[in-house]
Amino acid sequence: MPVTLPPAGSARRRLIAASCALLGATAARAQQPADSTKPVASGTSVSNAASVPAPVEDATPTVDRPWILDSAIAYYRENDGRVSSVEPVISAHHDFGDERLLDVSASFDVLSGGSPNGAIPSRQPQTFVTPSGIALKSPAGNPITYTNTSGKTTSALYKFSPYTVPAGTLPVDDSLHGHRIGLTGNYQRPLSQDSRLSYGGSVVDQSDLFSIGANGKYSRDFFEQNTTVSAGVNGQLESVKPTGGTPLPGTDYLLFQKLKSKSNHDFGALLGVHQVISRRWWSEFDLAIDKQLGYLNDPYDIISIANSAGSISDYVFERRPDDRSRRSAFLENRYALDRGMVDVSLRHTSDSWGVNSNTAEVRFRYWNPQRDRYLEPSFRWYKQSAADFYTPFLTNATAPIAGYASSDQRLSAFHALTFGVKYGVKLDDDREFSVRVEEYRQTSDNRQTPPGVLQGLDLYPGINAIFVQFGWRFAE
Amino acid sequence: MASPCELLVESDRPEEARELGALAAAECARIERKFSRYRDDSVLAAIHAAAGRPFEVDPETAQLLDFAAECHALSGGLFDITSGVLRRAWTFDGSARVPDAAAVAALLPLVGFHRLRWRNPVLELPAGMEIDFGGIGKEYAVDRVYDAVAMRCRRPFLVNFGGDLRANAAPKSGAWRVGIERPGAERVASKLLELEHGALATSGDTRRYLEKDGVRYGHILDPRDGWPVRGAPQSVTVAASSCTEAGLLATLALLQGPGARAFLDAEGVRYWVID
Amino acid sequence: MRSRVLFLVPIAVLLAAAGCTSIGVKPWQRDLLSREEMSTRSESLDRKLDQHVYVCKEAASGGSGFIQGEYGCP
Repeated sequence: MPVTLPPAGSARRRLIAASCALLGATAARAQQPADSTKPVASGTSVSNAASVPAPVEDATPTVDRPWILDSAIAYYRENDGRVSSVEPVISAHHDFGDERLLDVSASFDVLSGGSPNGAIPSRQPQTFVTPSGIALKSPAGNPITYTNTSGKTTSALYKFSPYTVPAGTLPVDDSLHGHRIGLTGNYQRPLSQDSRLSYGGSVVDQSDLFSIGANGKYSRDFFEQNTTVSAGVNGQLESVKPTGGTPLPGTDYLLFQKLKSKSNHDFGALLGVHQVISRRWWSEFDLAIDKQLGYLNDPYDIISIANSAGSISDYVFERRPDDRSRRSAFLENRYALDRGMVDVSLRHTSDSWGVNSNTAEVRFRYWNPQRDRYLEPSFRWYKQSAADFYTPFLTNATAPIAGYASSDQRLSAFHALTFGVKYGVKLDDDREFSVRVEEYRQTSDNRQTPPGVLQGLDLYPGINAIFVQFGWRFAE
Repeated sequence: MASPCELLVESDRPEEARELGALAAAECARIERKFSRYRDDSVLAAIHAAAGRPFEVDPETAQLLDFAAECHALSGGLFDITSGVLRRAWTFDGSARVPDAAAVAALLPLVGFHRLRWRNPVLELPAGMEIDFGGIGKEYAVDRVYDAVAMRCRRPFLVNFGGDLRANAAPKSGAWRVGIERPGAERVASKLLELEHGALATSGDTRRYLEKDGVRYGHILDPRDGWPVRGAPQSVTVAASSCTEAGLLATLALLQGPGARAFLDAEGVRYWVID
Repeated sequence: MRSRVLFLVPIAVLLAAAGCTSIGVKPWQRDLLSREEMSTRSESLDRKLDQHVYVCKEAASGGSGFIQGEYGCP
């Protein structure tokens, strides 16, 4: 039924006058707080019901911050000239005001430094080519025959960039450099009074890889929003286009048999419960599963083949199964302290490749009494078992290998500790500056000893890395 | 008041906080006793007992009636303190028991501010009709308690009666953090407002409704036909300089049904809507 | 298989506990829970940057939420 209302704005004017009349008539008007630095809109400025009130400050002083922007620049650096990266990232959170939320983030990662190529040290110097290379020897003007990325055998002038690793040194490929751009977005909207839907997508573009992903999640509240149950699914498609071509898994490294680009995809699902336990304490439990299919090999990883005497006779490209199922269980508890909070989380994962892992993480935030500075130390312990087909080297094998094998340190048995501390300064309610420093130490748990003269060499050097992040948060 | 009422004072003296708390509680209880429709010692009970005879009201009640009259006029008849009798037909308990049209029509002769005679300070309320300050009572109480505390206290404070609130100044941390009705998914009230000073009022209780044959009947009734306003948002929160003003604007917005947002945009106020 | 069943026990415990009236808070008791450090939203950028490191150096990382696909790492 249409209603004729007075012209725009005048309802409010009359209402202000009426409420002033109602409120101002008998009580003395509110005093201005003496120590306030801002004028207070009193809204009651009449002394009797009949007179017209003085104009009242129109703009309401309530403020909310619909856009919260978080920017950071992170430096990562491993010891011994290994990987280092610089990553600026910015993320924006927008509240539409009616329970709809948007999160968008963009990151740009510049990588450089060296990465172990999977081969083990030897008692002799070893020569490899960088992934873009296609031959090991320079035939000085003579064309060589090689299999190019389309699988075709052709002749061409040499194309190689070799590097030689001294005896007793872990082979590391220094040619790694590149950049990675990542974009993610997530949108959440209410479905009903107690439920909501969130969906998101991501894109990663890197010189040797491109991936897109999407996810959706449904959440429902119970018991006055003390319990929230969520269920979601996600999917990702990844196209692998390594520098120099995609190696045929398990084949002889020196044949440089490469394929055109390959891809893999994965699907996952998630079930989670979030429970408020008390005024200070909430707890969350999540179960997730995931299945990956397709080309899952690390295209740059090669495995040394040693004979029983300990001399390296050959190298092969690794070969992993073309499917992997993973499961994980995660439990987090956060407790509010008078001056901050403490958070403890545990995670256990297992998968069809035989990798089991456990993670325990503790974080503790401590504010100063004025609540404008905080210190947040953190500690993480991680341990994983090796994949069934992980092997640091092969003995007395010949290329091409049957079965699965990989010498990727990421699939080996190790434990890792992270010690971190974050310091934050709130300049005002909207702006915060922070610095975070973390040290990550990974130590191998592999006990396999190499044969023959290779004994005594350190095959499992681990990782020692430092991470420094500067953050700046502001609101619009 | 049917909801928790609190006063937050930023003070380093507990005695001051206790005194002001007692003052707020006393003023709140006074208003509750005086204007409750459930008590038989309230002003409303006396007015209803007069059953059509002229009744002289006290100055505070007179101001509320003046205010109700002005709101009735500026809302084109949508805001009407005599619409409480419709309660006899409608019980909003989430069931599907929608009253039949005859039952509602039978009550309409008892609804209508224009049917009573109000000449300050004398009120003539026809027999069978009721008046009810429920639509403005809580917000009025907030403003009254606010004035009482403000006279005695110069420090920052916030009066909060179940989501209808008003603050005089920002606390040391920069602002009072107010979460609107329903916290968001991350357990931080995703509509977390930062109130420095001023008032907020929320209209519309998201749990009082009926649902039948897929149609949802909200509990805000249009007094001109006795039926719920269709297409209204579930809750509207408005910011203004006084709680009474904010509360009225929120109620008026809900009475516009689907036009709630447009109405509030036209009036130029800050608002938040949950559909 | 046994480990799968064990995974479900904490969910069952949490859901059963949720039914008890002594667990949980009333809407007006969310003062501490609404502090920024009690929400995971304000630290999501830090966690994202952490994941960039862990996903590249470990086989089985990720926090709460979906299992991470790997984007290529050096």
